[in-house]
Amino acid sequence: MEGRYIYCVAEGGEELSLGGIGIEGTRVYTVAFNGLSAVVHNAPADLPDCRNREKVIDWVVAHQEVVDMAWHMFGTVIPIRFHTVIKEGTEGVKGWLAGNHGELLKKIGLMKGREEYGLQLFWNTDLVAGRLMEGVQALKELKAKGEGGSGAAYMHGQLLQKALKREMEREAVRFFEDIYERVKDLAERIIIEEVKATDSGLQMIMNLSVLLRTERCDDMKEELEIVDRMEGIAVRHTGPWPPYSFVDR
Amino acid sequence: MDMEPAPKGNVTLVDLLERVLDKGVVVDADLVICVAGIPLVGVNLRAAVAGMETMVKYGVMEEWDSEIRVTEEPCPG
Repeated sequence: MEGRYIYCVAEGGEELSLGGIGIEGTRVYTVAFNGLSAVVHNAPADLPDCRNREKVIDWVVAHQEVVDMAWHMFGTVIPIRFHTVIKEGTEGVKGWLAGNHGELLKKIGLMKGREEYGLQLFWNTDLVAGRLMEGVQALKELKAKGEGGSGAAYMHGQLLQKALKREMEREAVRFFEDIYERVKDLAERIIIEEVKATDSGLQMIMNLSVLLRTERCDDMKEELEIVDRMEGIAVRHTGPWPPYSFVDR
Repeated sequence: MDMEPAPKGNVTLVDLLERVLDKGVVVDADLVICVAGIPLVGVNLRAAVAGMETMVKYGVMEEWDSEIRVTEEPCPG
């Protein structure tokens, strides 16, 4: 029996077609049960395996596009984990909606009028290091002792590197706390994500997923502009996203 | 830096994967169809962003990969 690939759940009792916008051009439609609608496409019982990476990338992109479209249609959506195929066709989907009805409605209530943003803070490592070297007395002293070619100078050079690294870490924590505080008062929820390597000259020192009430978005952007004006610091944000990061438990 | 929210075109694959791949509601395992090759999806995606040298160098995708494996591999029935 065919399964149903499920993208997201929204409020609504109507069975609608969203057209052939699904993964691999599949027809996307809603399965409604008692005021909830699951956005799905029909998936064969023996799903093709996905060892082709370009294909999987296409799937991820299509998945997001469907969730995005549903989000704009319904206002609030609860995204489901990528590549979830429910057994037993439409009845299986209805059964799942029935079994999780209260919890899904509660999640929808919690996400109503909210948007997710990704928020990343970067710094220019050389610039920040240079500023610390000039501004921190202990580093200045080590730098002075490290000049010249003696063994002691070499040792002080090593100590300077270590001390600078520690100072950089402290500085990163200071920035992190400062910006976290600014965002905390505006956001409803914040998840601290892993920082990622970049291929620019900038180092990511903070990566947050932030859930905001829609009306607070401009306030957040104003705060971020203030941060962005700090020397050597850059802020990037993506979104608004459907609340991917805030629906699982 | 430009403070406009990144329009869809500026959202990178990494941004997309970070949200879509390992987030969202997890449906009880006994209700879902397991797919041959799906545990490989993480491997495939990590390979797909191999063009981004620094990411591979720092093993950025490894964690996502292992998380996906944890999610996808226990395959009841």
